[in-house]
Amino acid sequence: MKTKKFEFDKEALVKDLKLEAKALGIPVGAADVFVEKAVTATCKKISQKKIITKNDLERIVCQELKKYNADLAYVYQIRDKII
Amino acid sequence: MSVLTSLGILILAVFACAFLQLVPGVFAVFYHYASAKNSRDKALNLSSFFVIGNAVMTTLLLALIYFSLYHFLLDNPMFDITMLYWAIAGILALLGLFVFCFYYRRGKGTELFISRKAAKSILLKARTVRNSSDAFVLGLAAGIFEIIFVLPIYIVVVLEIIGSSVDNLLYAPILLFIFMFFTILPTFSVREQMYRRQKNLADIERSRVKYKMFYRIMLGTSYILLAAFIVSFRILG
Repeated sequence: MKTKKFEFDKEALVKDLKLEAKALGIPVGAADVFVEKAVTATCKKISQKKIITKNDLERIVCQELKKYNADLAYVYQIRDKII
Repeated sequence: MSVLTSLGILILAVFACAFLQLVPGVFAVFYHYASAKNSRDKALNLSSFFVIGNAVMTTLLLALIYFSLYHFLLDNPMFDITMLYWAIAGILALLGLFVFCFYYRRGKGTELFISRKAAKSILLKARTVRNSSDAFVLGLAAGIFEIIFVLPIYIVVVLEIIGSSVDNLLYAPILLFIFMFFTILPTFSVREQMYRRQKNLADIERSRVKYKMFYRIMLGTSYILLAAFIVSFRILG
């Protein structure tokens, strides 16, 4: 089976999540704080693993986001599965 | 052709089109990102261009079918309209069955039958809309992706419009207006929910997931009923 390697980009993830938060109408200040917290926690979790799949990464990000905002976690989870 | 039968067929055609999920889904994603990158009014303005683009695509397809039917088939003395009705009824019944089995992909979400590559490209386009022409093109493109489902319905609608205009020329624009209005209504309804009722993409998607089975049953049933209606009133009637 063909596998496609990808590199985890913390900045891009933070940028994406902040955009999603803005679209959901979450106040910018609050979103900045909890997005940073969620991404930091995600980095901490994935740094313990040698190899990680994209699905695993998305699942961890969702778990962390759910602690702060359920809508943002849900939109992040389904963003490629809407149509 | 009785105008009441034409109206009945048109209502079923409208029902089938109203339960198609691709255009409202693309619109919800497009509006979600448009409202993040622009002011509320600019997002509303862009969404109008999306709706106009979609309506233009519907009109173009209807005009193309009208032109093809009127100039290549209906004028031909060898052409048998009953055969065309049989073919359309068969295709509609098959599409109805297809809806029950394959319209939605397996899983909890609302992933549709279109290829993942196509879905990814249209979602990427929906995320990166910058101006009104982008929104217009996205509206046009969204209409093309479901062409397999809308084409037989549009053929039926055009045949009804041509048929009803024989009785009274005024019926054709009225039927066309009714069809166009109700075709863009689902997209318009998503726009109103997101703009006026302040619902976000999460709310819209949760409701789409919740009513997924309902949409599937209504869509499949509309196609099969439309096929049965055509057989009863246009072939045997």
